[in-house]
This record gives sequence, C-alpha cells and structure tokens, in this order.
Amino acid sequence: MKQNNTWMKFRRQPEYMGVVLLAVIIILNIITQGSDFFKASSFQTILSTNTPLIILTMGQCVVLFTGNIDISTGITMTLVNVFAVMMPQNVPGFPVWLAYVTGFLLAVLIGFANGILVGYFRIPPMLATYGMSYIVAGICLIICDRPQGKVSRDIWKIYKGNIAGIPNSLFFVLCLVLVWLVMKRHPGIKEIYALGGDEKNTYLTGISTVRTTIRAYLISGFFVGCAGIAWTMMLASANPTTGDAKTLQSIAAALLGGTLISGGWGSMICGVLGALFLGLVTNTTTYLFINLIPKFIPGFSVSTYYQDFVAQLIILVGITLSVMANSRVRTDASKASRPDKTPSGGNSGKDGDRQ
Amino acid sequence: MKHKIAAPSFLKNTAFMAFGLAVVLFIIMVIIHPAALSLNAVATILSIASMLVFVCAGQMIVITSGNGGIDLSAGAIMSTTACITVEYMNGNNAKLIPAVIICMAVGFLFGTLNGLGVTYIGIPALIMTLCMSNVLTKLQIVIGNGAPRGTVSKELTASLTHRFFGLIPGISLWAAVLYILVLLLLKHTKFGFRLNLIGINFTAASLSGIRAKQVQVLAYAFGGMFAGLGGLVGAGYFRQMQVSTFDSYTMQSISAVVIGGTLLSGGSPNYIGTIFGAVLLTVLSQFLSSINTSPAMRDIIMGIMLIVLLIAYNRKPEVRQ
Repeated sequence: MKQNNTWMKFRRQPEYMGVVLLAVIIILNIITQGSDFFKASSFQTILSTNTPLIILTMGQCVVLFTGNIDISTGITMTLVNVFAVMMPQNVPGFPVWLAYVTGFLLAVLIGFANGILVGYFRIPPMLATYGMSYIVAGICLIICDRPQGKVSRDIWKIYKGNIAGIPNSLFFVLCLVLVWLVMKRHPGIKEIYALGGDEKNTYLTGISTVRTTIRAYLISGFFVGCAGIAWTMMLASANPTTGDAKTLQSIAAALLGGTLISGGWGSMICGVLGALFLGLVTNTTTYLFINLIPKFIPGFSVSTYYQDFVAQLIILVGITLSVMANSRVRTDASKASRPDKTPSGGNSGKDGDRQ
Repeated sequence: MKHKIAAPSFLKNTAFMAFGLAVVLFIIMVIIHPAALSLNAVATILSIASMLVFVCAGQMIVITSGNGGIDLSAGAIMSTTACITVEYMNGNNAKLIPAVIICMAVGFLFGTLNGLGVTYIGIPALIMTLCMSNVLTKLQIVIGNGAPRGTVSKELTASLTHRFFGLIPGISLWAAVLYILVLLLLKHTKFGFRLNLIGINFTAASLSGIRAKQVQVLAYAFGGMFAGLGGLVGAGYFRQMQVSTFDSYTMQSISAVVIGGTLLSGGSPNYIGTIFGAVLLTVLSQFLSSINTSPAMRDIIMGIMLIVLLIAYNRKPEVRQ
C-alpha cells in the first residue's frame, strides 16, 4: 500500500514523464547500440556534447516557470563564446580570464534587458526576445564573421577530462543543479512559480510582477552565461552561427522533461532530463539505421536524411506524450489538493512537508 | 487616467502608420540614393512584398484565432510546397493546375495537423508548429533528395514577373486577388465571424454554441493552406529552389502582422495593415542594403526597430486592469 502511495506521488511530480521518456530512450539505445553503450568513452562523448544544451535548458526553464519564453538564449550563448575567444586575440593584452568573465556578464546583462522589455514594457515575450536575438546576432557577427579562433588546450582539456571515470562536464551540471537547489530556498523563486501559476493573484498578493519577471530573466541569463562557457570549451573555437539552433532545442527539451509552457509547473530536473532525452534521440536513430535494421533486413540502407526525419518525429511524439501526461496530472492534482493548497507551484507538496 | 493627452486618431491607426513609415523610409532612401527612384526599384519592392502577403494572410488568420496562436511552421510549409512544385512541375506548364491543388492540399494537411495538436492535444502552438517546421525541413530534404532539381514552367514565372506598365508586377495582381478573397473570408463568412469571436474570448464563444475547437483547427488549416500557396508563388518567382529557402518568412510574416496592428492576444484581424507591414519590412530591408550596411548592422537595426514598434503598438494590458 505504501509503495503504491509513493508511485502515485511520483506520478504527480512534473518529472514523471521526463523520467519515463529518458528510461525508454536509454533502453532503446542499449538495444540498438549493444554493449558499446556502457563504455566510458561513449558516456563521455554524450555528456560533453550535450552539457551546453542541458545548462541552456535549465536557463530556459526558469523563464518558462513565469509563463514567459526566451528565444534569444542560443544566440546569447554564442555571444559569450565569440566574445571569450575573440577578445584576447583581437585586443592585445586582454587577459583570457577577463574575456570569459565579461562574456558571462554580457549574458546576464542581456537577460536583464529581456526582463525589462517583457516585465516593464509588457511586450509579448516571444517577440521581445526575438527582436533581442536579432540584435545579439548582429553583435556576434561584428565581433567575428566566420568560424575561427582557438581555445588554448589547457582550458578545453579540463572540460573534456574526467575524474575517476566521471566526466568533468557532469560535475559542471551537478554544480549548477546544486546552485539552483540552494537558490530555490529563497522566497524570490517561489514568487517566480507563483507568477507563472496566476499572474493576477500574484499581483494581488502584493508581489511585484515586474520585478519577478526581471528576476527570472536575470537567473536565466546567469545559466545562459554558464552554458556559453561550456559551449566555448566544447567547440574550442569561436563559431557565430551554430548556437542559434540550440534555442529551439532547449525549449523542446524543457517541454519533454515536463515543464509547462504556460508557467508555474516544472523543475530544473525536468530540463536536465529533457535535454538528455533530446541528446540521446539522435544517437539512437543513428544506431537504429546503421546497426539494428540491417541486422533483420539484409542490404537495408537509406540516406542519412531519413535519420533526421525519424529523430524529429520521435521528438514530436515525445512532446505530445509529455504534454498529455502533464495536463492530466495537473487536473488530478488540482482536484486532489483544492481544499488546503493551490494547484499551481510545482513543488507545493514538498514545501508543505518542510514547513 | 494615465494618458492625459489623447493622441491624434491617425497615430492610433497602425495600418496608416505602417504605410506612412514605409513612405518616409522610401523618401529618405531616394534622398540618399537618387538611383532608388526608378520603376525597377519600386517594382522589386512590390514583388517581394507581394510574396510576403501570401504567407502573412495565413499567419494573420492563425494569430487571430487567439489562445497564443502562432504559426512558426509557415516558412517551412512554404519551402516544402515550393520543393514539391519544382519537383512535380519540372518545367511542364500543363501541370500548373494540379500543382496549385497539391500545394494547397499539402499546406492544408500540415495546417490541420498543427491545429489538431494545438486544440485537441493541448500542445502550445509555439512548440507544436516549431516541431512541425523541423519535421517539414527534414521532409524537404527527403523529397528533393538533398537538393531539389526541377524548375517551374516558364509560363508561371512569366505571369508572376511580367510588369504591367513597367511598374506593377504580375505577382502583385495575384496578391490583390488574394486580398479580396481573404477579406471576403474574414468579413462575409460564418467562419470569419466565428474566428473573430474565438479570438476575442474562447470560452465565451464556445459557451454561445460555437464549436470553438473546430474553428481553431480550421484557422490553422487555412494558415497552412495560404502558406502552401505562398510556396508555389515563391517557387514560380524564383524558378529554382533550395531546401528551406523561405524559412526566414516565418518571422517576417509575424513581424508584418504585428506591425500591421493585429493583436497577438487574438481577435481584430487587420489585413490591410498587414499588407502595409509587409511593404514596410521590404522597404526597410531595401533601404538598409542601399546604404551599404553590413549584414550584421542590418540585423541590429531590424531588431531595434522591431522592439521599438512593439513598445509603440503591441503592449499587453497592465496586470492591474
């Protein structure tokens, strides 16, 4: 009976569908790839290529909690990359560490500007951040117009290295998750959830909606800055174009993990799970078409274009499942908890336990 | 009252403002670059804006349906039908009518899928159409096997690029026909009225007996259909196609709709404003390229302009109200 209770409780968490999807894709991966999946090197590759996306998704999640959206994150990450790599090369005597710090601060500043536009000027968030993404893309191209530059070996070696078989990039993600868990104790974060749950009620409670929105975008900027540094170390060069595609991936990842785009529901873990799922899908379809199907159908070969097509279809199905599961959970939760607590606020149950 | 001094009424008319801004920009361009005042330059602006008008019609219908409705797959649908057109026609004019029907059907199909995902499953429009655009981009590569090879027929291209009186390109006449059709659809059909109602208040509309979900699906389907038609016209204008040529039209169409004064919150479509928005965007990009700005500066100026226009026209109401 008790176990049943835990299972039901787990099913009501926002992470539920993210965990299920990730489990399914890992099993699929093991089936298609065979025992190679358990090699340390394969973990290393998957984690180090996907760490920027994971951190970016975490940043996106914070904004999604407020019911807003930020589609300038990918290009801001690119700006950090371009700035950190090109500045020491273009300006003689510019210390490398200062370039990284300034790049990081630029990301926070752009987050702040987005917050002002969305919170204070009340522009629809999608278009405000879209306009911002144009501006940032322009700045990126001014600094560096084509992929070039080099990160010194000492720096990227740290990122690609490992301690006792555990990749350093994983430690980076874990650190940021810890930072978030500490931050979450601050009432300001509860206000962010509340804003996403119901803007009017939040306002009536006496919380400044403008300041809360700006705070969410600032925290997002912090994570985007971190993602930019991870991205720089992963690429080990400056690339002004490829980062932009990560924005949309990060939004999709946040949804896959179980964050609701309407706000007030989800957690950081959702973002991490969703991003990992997204990273593994491509891996799976590649092996599916190269390893598994030819085993059963000899001589089977299709162009690689089909792999991408199937990967996109899987993502679409995953998002559909995740959204359906979440909307069901939310109606259940609001029915179950109506008497004593509000339905909004993803972790209201946990908070209740603590107090 | 916060705004004590009432602004003159013409300043509130966004369609008029968009047109005025376009004219002012054009005059500045002529002053800086006298060569810009030629029939050819005006005709180019008209053709590019007309191409935008097709996809904008669909985008506007989707945005009007409210509930955060937006179609990020418009550009991808355009590219897909354009690829289908060149692969299918392959220079043969006898296939024009089937090609038009196929393009509209394909657009309608993917639009319906978008609509079903948004209304019945409850995926946010932003995400649903975004994923759809990713799927469509890969589909184009599959259709064209990497790079589509065919061309459209000479007659189609000629009908689009022929300039009447040396000024009005054929494509603008197509756009004018479309304008009348869309206006009839919005103002004189049951669908148009219902679309407006569900955009203003979805719940109230469904309580008053409108099958709101079906209307919304139909809105997305029409959105896809117009984008599909836009793809055919675009392919006809450019003759040859590459994968995802028209992807940038997604955001351009959204910008044009917003500049034209259609509210992002739904309801109150403003098609004439949307057309002027398309003209303004085209003039602006021509202006920026005429004064030899680098692409990077052009991006920055476009971004700043979009934000300034949004602050001026499309602010959400305060929470207090």
